[in-house]
Amino acid sequence: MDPNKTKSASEGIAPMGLTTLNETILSNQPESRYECPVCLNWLRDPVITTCGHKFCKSCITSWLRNSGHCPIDNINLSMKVDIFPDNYTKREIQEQRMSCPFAAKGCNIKVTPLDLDAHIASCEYNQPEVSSQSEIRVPCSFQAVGCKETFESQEEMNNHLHKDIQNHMSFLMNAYSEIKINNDISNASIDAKEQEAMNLWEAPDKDGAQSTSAPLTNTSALIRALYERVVVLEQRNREQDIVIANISKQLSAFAVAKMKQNSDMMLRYCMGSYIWRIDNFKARLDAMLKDHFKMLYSPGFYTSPNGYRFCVRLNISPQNPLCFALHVHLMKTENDDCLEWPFNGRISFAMINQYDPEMTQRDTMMSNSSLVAFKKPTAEICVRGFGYTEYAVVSDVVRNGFVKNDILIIKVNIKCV
Amino acid sequence: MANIAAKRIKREFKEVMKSEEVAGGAIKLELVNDSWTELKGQIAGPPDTPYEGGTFLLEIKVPETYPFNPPKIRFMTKIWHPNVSSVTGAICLDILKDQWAAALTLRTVLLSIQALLSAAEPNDPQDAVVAKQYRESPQLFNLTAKHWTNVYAGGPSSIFDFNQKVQLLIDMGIDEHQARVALSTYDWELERATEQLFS
Repeated sequence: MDPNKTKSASEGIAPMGLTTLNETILSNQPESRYECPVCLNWLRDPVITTCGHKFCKSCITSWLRNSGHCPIDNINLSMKVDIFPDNYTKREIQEQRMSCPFAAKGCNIKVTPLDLDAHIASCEYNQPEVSSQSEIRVPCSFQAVGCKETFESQEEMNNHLHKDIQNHMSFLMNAYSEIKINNDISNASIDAKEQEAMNLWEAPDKDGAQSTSAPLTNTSALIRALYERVVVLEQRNREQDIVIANISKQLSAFAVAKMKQNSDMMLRYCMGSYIWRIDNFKARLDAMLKDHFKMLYSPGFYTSPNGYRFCVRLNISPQNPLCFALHVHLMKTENDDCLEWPFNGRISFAMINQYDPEMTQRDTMMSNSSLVAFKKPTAEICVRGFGYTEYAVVSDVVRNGFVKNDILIIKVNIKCV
Repeated sequence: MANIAAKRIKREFKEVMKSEEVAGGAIKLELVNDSWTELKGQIAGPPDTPYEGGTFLLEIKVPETYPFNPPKIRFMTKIWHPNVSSVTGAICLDILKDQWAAALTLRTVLLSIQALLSAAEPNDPQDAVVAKQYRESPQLFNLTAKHWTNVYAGGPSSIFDFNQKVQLLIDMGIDEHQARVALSTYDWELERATEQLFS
């Protein structure tokens, strides 16, 4: 159906001139002896009661359905025994002739009072162009289905609606079949779309087979399918969350490993020149002073990527508790078999004075190939070290600018010779 | 709205407009909306009654089944009358209930209500309090009805004593209408009215 048509129909109903008393209808006022006291209109199929009152047959029938009394004098009335057709009045009314209210516009028709309303509704002079100067005409409420009648008032429309039931029925019938056809067509296309959509939305593996086996035929099925789809997606979402959580855990572990690897790389590729930063020096020193067997070891570093591996040990000298002892220790590597033993080389220590570089304490010593300390290590760290048992006085180290920001820096340089 | 109801109301409306009662100012009828289902009636307080000089507004609702069922009518103007609720304005009148007849019209109904103001039916009361006063102290009832007519319906008789008592209660923080109802109910005895209001 044309949507514009429907729209104009609904708009057309709004401006009905209900407040305007319709003179055409009301001027058709019957004499009191021909007036039904119930509908106040011309007696239609008049009947007379035993108490002598006249009514339209349909009016008194409706009234007596709920009441057993005459609407005028309250005398008991029974539909069966107290109501008689008043054919005398009926004839008198039918013999009356009334001119059409559009007589001034040229309608010469004269009808009985009972037919007047019907005639007015269909009178050819009762047309839009005649009254165009006066008021808005109301289209028939069946306009949407094709009725082209328009009216000046609600009464006229009511008459028309009453009279043209047959026509309206056929309009409705046509409209209905049209809708039905359209509907069938659109239903078919909707079905096709649903099918297509289902194919697109095929849920992963598990419920996919089930959905296709029962093709959807209507909207509720579509909604059900969507609902199932939502459930599936939510499930998958959960699974993804778990996967993501695992991956991020792995990633952080990897980052840690990577950092460790980085520092390992530094140690391997330092070419024997290692800078040992001892942080938290004060706390460590306190611990060492408390327990003279506590020792600080540096990480192992390499003289070359595949060379010897050394670490540095700092501890309180066992012989003289006022002094630090500083040694280097050979460590096992995977390449020990490829190296020449014992180790031969020069070992330099430099304890950095962080306030005055000139005060940095530097010491160099040569390896002694007869010592166990330079033989191929048998433990992870060779038990024997090589260095100074009284390297520096503890109080000097603390006081003379070697510790800054609680960090002591010892640079070790080991070169093969 | 059913065709017959709308049609009849329109005819009746015209009938009322042409009637001599409208010309004489005894009754009036106005449309409230476009659908003819609601109208506003107005009746003048009949002469030689406490309502004389007052104008009473009525709400008229026309049912779908009109005229096979009566219109629903109530007073919008507050009134002190045995057959009208002083609270809701509901009217106890046989023709608006079981004695309704399809031959009655808005005009005849309005005239009947006007007649009811002249001749109350205390034995078929809508407001028991008012009816009791009507029977037991007719003079006080007359004054009270006059007072209400004066206050709510624009009647001419202002009753000084009553106004003063109402004002006293208003000064105590009581709502004006509430005060008037309480005083009217307790035959204008200030103490009992106060007691009731503050209990």
